[in-house]
Amino acid sequence: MTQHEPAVDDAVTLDLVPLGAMVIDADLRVIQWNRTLADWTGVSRQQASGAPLRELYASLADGPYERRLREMFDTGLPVYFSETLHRHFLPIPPQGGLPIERMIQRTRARLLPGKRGRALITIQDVSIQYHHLGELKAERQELLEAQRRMRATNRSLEVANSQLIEAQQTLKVSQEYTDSILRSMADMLIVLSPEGFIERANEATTTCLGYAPWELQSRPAQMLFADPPDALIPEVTCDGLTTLTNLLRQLERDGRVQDFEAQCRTKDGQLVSVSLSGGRLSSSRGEPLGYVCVMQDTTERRRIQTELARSQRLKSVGQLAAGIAHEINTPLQCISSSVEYLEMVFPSLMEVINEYAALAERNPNGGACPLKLANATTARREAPAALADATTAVHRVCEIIQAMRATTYPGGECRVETDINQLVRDAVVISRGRWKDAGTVTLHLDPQLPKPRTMPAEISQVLINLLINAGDALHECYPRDGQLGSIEVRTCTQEELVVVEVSDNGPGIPEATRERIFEPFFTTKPIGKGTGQGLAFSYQAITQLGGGLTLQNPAQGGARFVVTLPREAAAEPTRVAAGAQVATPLS
Amino acid sequence: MQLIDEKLDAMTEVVNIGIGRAAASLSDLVGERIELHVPRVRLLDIYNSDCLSETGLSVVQGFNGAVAGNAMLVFPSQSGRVLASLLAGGVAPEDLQPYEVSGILSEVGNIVLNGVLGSIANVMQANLSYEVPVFHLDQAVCDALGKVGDGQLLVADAALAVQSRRIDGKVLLAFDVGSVEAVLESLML
Repeated sequence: MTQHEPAVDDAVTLDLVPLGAMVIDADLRVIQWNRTLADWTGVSRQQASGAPLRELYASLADGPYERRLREMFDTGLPVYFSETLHRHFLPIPPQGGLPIERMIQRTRARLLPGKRGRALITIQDVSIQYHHLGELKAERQELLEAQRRMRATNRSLEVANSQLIEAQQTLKVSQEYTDSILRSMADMLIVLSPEGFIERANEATTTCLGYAPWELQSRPAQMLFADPPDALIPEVTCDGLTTLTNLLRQLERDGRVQDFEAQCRTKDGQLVSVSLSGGRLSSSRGEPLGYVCVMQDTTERRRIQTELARSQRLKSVGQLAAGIAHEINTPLQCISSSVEYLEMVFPSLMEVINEYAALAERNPNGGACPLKLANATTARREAPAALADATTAVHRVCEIIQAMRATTYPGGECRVETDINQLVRDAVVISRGRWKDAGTVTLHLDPQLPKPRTMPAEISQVLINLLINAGDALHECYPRDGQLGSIEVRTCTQEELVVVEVSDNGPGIPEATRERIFEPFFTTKPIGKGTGQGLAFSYQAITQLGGGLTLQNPAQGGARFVVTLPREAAAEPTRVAAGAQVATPLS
Repeated sequence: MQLIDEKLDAMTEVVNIGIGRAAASLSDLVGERIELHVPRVRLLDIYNSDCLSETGLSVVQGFNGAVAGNAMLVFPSQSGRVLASLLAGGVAPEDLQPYEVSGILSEVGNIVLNGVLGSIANVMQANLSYEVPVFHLDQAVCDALGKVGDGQLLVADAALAVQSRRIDGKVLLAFDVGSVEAVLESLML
């Protein structure tokens, strides 16, 4: 080895290091002070050299610095002053223009190898790194805060969401409730758009008019209606445009309609009378949403009204008949008396005539007798029979008029003691025209029958109805092989009840219709013959009197209606009804 | 075997002396009482030990001279962060950043390991030179410690008590070939 590289001066080496660096001795005096430190601290190398550290920086005398540096010299062990626990070793303004209070330094001290009494202290300025890290930390904090806010927002969104779901659930329940109401409605309900298109129709509508729900959705509502036929061309059936236009105009003008009479058309073209009520729908801000209409099928109601009108007409006819019966009665009584008188005196007159005739025969040319008896021969022979016929007929008319008067007597609400047997006899007379061609009536009347307090007109009507029904039943199968059918009327007492049984031997009432025969307007008779009101009226009248009306089908066939009336407060019979007979066949 | 146990007893005492000094330094540093205690020093065969595979926060300081090797102070990650937060003045552990944990535990390691190594050097009357402490974040012990020449480790379980909190760590001493014997021999002189 001829030539050595010149040893690099330690001081030069330290100046090249980008750290603050100094060498101190065991007395903690500065031996070397590098350029970086001089630049940082403003203390020149000359000023620092040989100076004790505590004189340069009095702060080092306090705290652990001096003690630990001295221990380092004692033990040779390195010392580390962390930036976190110490922040700074020397008060050096930080790099990067940061304020002095932001200075942060990491300091290490260790003995220089081979130089027992010397130690190197390096100071690393980490202020700017920590400043940057601090910013990152603040940003992280902000991020965490944002995250926390997001979580809170999330939670409130979740709450809002669950509230929304709950509200939807409530809405669904409410919707189902509304749907169920609309479904259960017996009347038709339609919701129309402001332009007159069908937005909704309930089940009653689709069922009644024969459409599937989807067939009505968003279709023009005129398809549901039928305009009145054109007067000029009645066979052309118009669609319901005019009806709909009138309806919408009225709804628009008045906001609502009540009892708007219209005709609906079913899918297969049938017409249904409806009474329509409805109103205008609008939002809370008053914007028009359309119209809601409820339609009631009035076909049945109209039929009932027709029946009622007819029944009222019948009632008027009844009143008229009562008036006529009353008016006729007086002259009839006169005729009856006169005929009876004539009948009484007629045999005497006949005797005179006959004697006169015998006299004339004995003296054919007698001038005292100018009569031409030849002409009177026929009269003498037929007059008695004619008088007898007249008497019978007058009696018959009297009976009819009496019965009519009894039946049509306006009894009102007043209950009176009633001779049921007499009412039976009157009813038989009045109804005779309805059964005489098909059968006979046999009466089995209890002469001891009590007189319950009833409304005779009602009972009378009931008995007539039962006899007419029995007669109609007999007409279905009699006369048969020259035989007539039979109607039996029986009155009797059963415990506390007065019983009237009307039986016939007609075809009887089929099982299927038995339950319905007391319903109003239920009839099995041909159209125009029965109104379906007779039995319904009878049932109602008897039950109102506290009695009962039942149907029995006797074993021998036919039908038997049993009227029961309470005999409560019934007076004992005061007299045997005139003409009451047991088992008196009538024809 | 009895001989080894006696030597380990002596070693426990030596380590406790150094640890005691370290505790005083730490207390000075943070301005409150810190207790440090090593109940027992053990000799571990690294081939039969799970100790090296554990991860944690560790500080390693090398030494050279009559004996050579690496000294390590290691804490389980959570305990190390709690200790750092207590020494930093009660900052919540989750608010401490890794560079702050690194700085604090490096200094704690430096003080504790200085105490232990200084005590050993003192007993051996050996002239040792030391490296500056190096911090390892959540690394396996074997990676942080470097090679273990002898295949044997001196392990001291260290218990720190700060503000009535007990924090468990370990001081590991890994020696180069022949150094363990040299150390233990010197204790018996």
